[in-house]
Amino acid sequence: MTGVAVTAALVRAGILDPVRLAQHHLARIAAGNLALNAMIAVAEAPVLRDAARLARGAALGPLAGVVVAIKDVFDVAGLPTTANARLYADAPPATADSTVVARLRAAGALIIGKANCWEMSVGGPSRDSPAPPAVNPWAPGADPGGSSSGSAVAVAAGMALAAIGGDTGGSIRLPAAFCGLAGFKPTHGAVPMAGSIPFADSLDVAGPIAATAADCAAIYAVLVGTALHPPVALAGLRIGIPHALVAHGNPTNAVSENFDAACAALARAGAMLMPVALPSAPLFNACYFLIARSEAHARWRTTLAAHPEAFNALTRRSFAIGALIPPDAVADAIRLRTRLRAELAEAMAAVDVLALPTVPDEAGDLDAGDAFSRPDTAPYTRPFSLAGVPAVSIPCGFGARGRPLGLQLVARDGADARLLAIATAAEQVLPATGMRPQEWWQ
Amino acid sequence: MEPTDDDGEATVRATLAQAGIDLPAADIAFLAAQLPMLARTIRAVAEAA
Repeated sequence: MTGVAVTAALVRAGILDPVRLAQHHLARIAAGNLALNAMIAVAEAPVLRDAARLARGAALGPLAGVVVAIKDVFDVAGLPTTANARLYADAPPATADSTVVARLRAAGALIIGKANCWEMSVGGPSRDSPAPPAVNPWAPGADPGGSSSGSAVAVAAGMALAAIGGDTGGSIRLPAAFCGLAGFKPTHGAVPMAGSIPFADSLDVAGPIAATAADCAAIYAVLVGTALHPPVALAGLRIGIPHALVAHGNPTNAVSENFDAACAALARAGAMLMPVALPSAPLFNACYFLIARSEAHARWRTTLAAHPEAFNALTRRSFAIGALIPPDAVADAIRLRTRLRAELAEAMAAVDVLALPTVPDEAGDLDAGDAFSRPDTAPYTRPFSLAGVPAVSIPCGFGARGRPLGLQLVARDGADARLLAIATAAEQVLPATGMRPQEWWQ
Repeated sequence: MEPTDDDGEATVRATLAQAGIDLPAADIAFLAAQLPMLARTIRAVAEAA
């Protein structure tokens, strides 16, 4: 599959027809969405209209002809924004694009529709939401992760070349890892969130999911209006390994083996691996949990009180548990976050990036049981959401059941573009980059 | 003395009522079961902050 930058270049050169591209992805949706539930709404007529306009030479920008799916918490003009919740079942079509979508369109991207997600971006996969859970195309019945589940599934199954997700504690990186893709969580605040349904404002970010970090870099450059970072060589790069945090997440043997193999591949390419101390590693997730749940409760308590029936049980419980966190505990968590951010910044001062697994295990099965989020959920992604720093997941081998795993690279606050350049170099030496679930790519 | 399940559910119900929130009994029982985890988390953060 051709990547984002090459696709756009070929469209600009008149070699690729954007209408054919849109038709290709629409056909993928028609063939697979009934089984995979990746897309909630498909903008068939608008995307073909926009593609035809591109074919006539309009807006041949850096994403010309790149077909993008949008998580259904971001407004797309002409489509309702539902967050896969009954609360928004009768929502009228959005009258304007969210800032993220507007910037993509201005660069020539073709918006193909709204991608499925966990209800309100919280809780977990549920049969009690308007759309059934998205299914991981790597294995029948497998969980694709979330909350940006449909965004990852759409890309993994070829329904879009890239997708936009939202990430509060791992909701871009986790489904990217579980679906064998790259997913990028920018620095908090780097990408405007106007025109989106929030979860926890001090943690929420928008970012791309795509086949590669290079694709994510091309999308991210448009989202923030910057140029692509020059290529970065792995030789001499200082990569810190936060051993205490890795151990705290209790990785499976397969995750540990794939992570060790990835580190060895990076070292063979000339990167210098060094241990990094994070003495407070176990506290990051506890602190995250109190802040995320109290913020979500503060944001949604009025709606929950007025319309508890508008949410499924996972969402109700996720919003309600914030009421059980006393104000003093929230204040403690906010104070501790400042200290943890400083500890992470100090740990990263001597390295270019951190490397650790994205997930402690491969994807489980849908309907496998209680998906309620606890302080030990997502142990490798939430610390960097709490810290607000950029983090990217790239493919990193497979677990014991043959389902994808991810390698997470983390950089300092604001070093987003350089992190993506480093990830682009790293994915060149990791074996799983670009692999696809065969059933959906034959 | 450890709180009983009923104590936990009463605590949850009363706390949610202060926010005007009335949830199904299954939600109350579920949240009551989370109270020990929540207490441990709050204590860990308080001791570190």
